[in-house]
Amino acid sequence: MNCAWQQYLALLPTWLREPVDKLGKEDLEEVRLRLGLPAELVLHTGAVRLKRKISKEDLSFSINVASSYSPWAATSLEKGYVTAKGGHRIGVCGTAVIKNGEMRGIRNISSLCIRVSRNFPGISQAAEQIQGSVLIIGSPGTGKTTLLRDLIMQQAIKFNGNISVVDEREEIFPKNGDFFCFPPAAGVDVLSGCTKISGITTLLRVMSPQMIAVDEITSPDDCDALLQAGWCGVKLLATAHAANRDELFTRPIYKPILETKLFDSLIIMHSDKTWHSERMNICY
Amino acid sequence: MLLKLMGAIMVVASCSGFGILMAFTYKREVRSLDALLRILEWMINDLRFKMTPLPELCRISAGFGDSTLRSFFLKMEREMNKHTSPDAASCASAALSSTVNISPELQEILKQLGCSLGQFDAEGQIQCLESVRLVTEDRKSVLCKNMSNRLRSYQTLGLCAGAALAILLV
Repeated sequence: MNCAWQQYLALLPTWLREPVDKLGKEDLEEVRLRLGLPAELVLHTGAVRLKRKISKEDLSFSINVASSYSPWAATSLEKGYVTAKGGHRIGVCGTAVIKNGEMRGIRNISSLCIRVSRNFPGISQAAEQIQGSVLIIGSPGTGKTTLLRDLIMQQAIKFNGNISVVDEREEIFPKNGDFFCFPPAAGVDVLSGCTKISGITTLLRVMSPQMIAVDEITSPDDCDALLQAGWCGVKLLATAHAANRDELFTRPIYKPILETKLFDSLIIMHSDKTWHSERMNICY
Repeated sequence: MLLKLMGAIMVVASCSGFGILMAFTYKREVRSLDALLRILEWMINDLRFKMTPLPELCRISAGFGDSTLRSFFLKMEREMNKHTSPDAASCASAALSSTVNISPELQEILKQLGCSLGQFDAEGQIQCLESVRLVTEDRKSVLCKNMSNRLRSYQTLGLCAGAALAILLV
């Protein structure tokens, strides 16, 4: 297992670093900071609440450190998150700033969810036989991105071709400055920080990929982007939020990609972070 | 007699030196404000097109500044890289407290700059920097008004005060 642990600790207020390091180095999933309430450490074994309450300065500190004291540069704040060095994602809640009917940022921050990004090389070994385009589904926090990252690495080695990754949230291959925290295999090109629709269009034009990987299909735009990439000789690897096959087929947002049989195989993540694969049989 | 003459020369020289120092400090502040205006202009343009993160922005800004501003921006960058200050304003005030040779007016402007950094949206950030630029321009225009006369006055006053002291003492 690889994890940029020191970079994770740096995101936390100084008083919180020691208890988090002591209690959660091995199995911490996330730290939740809520204004005026005790800090909560979510471990694999359950949640632990510390005594000290979170102040406004604590929340401001984490956001500032995560964005290198440049919250204005973190355009992802418009979508409610900031990805820090090491790939650790901070989910942000507060009061939305709306301009022209669109969310432009968040002020009066009231809570943060700081997730640990970990890399488990080899977890996708059992998926070696899966053919064609693959959709990974699971509830939040079940390890979809971790599996996707390993699957990309495995495919890059097996495939011996070009795999392009649109890493919108910079979570699949997070960077530390100019370098990747979890270096991708040879043959993997990563386009970070741009939307899936523009990223996929760019990659199709300029990188001649044989496979395109994206994380978290959550909007109709994301589905459109995948439809654009399908049937032009490019295989797809993607993740989506759905606990099981039924939920996936019930969500209207995924209808276009399921109806068009864009994916050949489905990998379903379980809450204990194990997974199994199925053939994608569409019954529309 | 020789001792008195030497004493008089020393009094005149030191008072003149003080006058020259005042004039030099005045000129240095104008130079610093000039450099700060250049930096602010550059920061605003960078925010419009590149959105470079603040520590890097400070490091690059240090290259545009005179020795005072260079030291301020480098200290601010160091402070941010330590990951111990809650926000950019605290980093700026920590950097200011350890920067020497800085006039109270420039200190005030830099404090304002520090407080303006760290906005949550780029548009708001640009507007804040614009307002700091206006304050800096105002201060500079006040200093530049009759600058040559003021500089001459400082030097002349120094010399005259020295001469008067020498006459009184000798």
